[in-house]
Amino acid sequence: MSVDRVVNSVDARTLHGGDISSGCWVIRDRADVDVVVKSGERADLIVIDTAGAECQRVGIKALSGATLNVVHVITESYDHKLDISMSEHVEVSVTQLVVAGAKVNTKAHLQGAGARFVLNGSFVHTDDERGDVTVDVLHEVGDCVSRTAYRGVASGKAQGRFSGLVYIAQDAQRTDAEQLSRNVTLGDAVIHTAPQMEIYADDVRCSHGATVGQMDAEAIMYMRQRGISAADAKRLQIQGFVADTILHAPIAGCGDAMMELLMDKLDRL
Amino acid sequence: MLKIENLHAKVGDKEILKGINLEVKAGEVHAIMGPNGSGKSTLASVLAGNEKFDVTQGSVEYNGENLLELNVEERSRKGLFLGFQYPVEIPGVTMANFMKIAVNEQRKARGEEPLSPAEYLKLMREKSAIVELDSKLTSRAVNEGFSGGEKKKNEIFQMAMLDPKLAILDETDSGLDIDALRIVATGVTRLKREDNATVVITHYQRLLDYIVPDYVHVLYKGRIIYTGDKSLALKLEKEGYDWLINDYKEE
Repeated sequence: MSVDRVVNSVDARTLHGGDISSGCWVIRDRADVDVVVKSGERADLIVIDTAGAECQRVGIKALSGATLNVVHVITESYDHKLDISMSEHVEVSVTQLVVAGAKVNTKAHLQGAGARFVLNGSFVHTDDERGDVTVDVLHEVGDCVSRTAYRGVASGKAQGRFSGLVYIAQDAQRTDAEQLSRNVTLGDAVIHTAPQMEIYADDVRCSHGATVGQMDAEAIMYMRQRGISAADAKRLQIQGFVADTILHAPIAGCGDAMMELLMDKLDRL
Repeated sequence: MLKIENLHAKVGDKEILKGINLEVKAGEVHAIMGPNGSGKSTLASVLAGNEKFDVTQGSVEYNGENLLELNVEERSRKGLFLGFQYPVEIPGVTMANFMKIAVNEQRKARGEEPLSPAEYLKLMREKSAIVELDSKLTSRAVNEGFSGGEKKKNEIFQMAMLDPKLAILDETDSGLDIDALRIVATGVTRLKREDNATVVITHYQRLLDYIVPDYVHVLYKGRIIYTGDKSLALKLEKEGYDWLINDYKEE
């Protein structure tokens, strides 16, 4: 199965929870896991779901100065929770790919000054799938940075939803936060996007944006004029739209495997 | 190669082409000139098969086939190439990947095997040299962040890669500085052979200093109102279109 390729593409150790130091780790086959990334360590973490489970929750605590890269792949339509707490000067970068009609909730707590959280995500829903992606970025202290960029695609009779929240507490001065949701629908599919900001501090830099669009007809025409069929042109355009997030996956080797997973999904568009 | 007879086309309710007649033979270069809004780009789009336009009358024969019965990609695979006036950006799709798919689709249509990665790289290197296209551009997303000149060079690069029988270049010269113009025009000239043909749509005579046409046509209000040789372009540059348009009105 193609989800295995994501794991096979890297040299990673299986993780069942507990404290981790530098290295590459994989969580799979686990419904409920708590992980602590030790202070100053640099770890890579791949989170994969498996068939047959009912939900998956991964709790991560990154201690001061830790750097963590996360690749989160969702191929099953049950509930997924990713909960990350970040101490001072922690850097966390997450790449999330959702190719099932799942409920996916990601929560980042920025609890130490100088923390930086980056999330690049994509969901692709086909047929009659119902998907629901939630991202909550909680700036609990000041001097932190967050960047969330999510891309959504839905085709057929699918329905997608993106709900984003950037919360900035009263004491979280000098916060720098961005949130972007870009979506493309095909056929009768629908995507709802609701980016939200709750700002209680006054010295902050925040921006958010959301778009829902159709395919770019001119780009399709351009590709067809070069001999590419209409169906392939559509696929190529969607692939390009989503690939942007995946190709920058922070764990070397994972990008190509995620791309293959995405291509399998795009065959169903 | 191409025979257009009494071609009428409209977009929405508006008739733009009102009876075009044009014959292009292998080995020829035709220039189509004319004031803004005369239908030059519409003619290019209709020949390429853009579904935005409805052909209401007339016929187009292309290498013995009814061109109007073929869809956009079929026309391309049969060797018809359109150089776009406004090349389109395709984020996330690299130029190299885009052209590989296009080249192999065309090969498949001719019953040929796809190119091996080594053959493809060789072809890409060879053809990008023709238009002095920076090889780094091929690893970037299609037309994304390309300068105006790079976009137009990129059109001719694609033309070189696909090796068309009939190339229609829609205002490929617009927005080019003199160096880029020379490079683009030299590229087109180098690709010219006895068995292919080029239709150059242009606003200005200056492109025709580099690409010497066998025929120059003036398109006005959806019809070709005058045909001459390359000296016509020079005369148009000096005297404008008024003398032709005035004659036409009197007709």
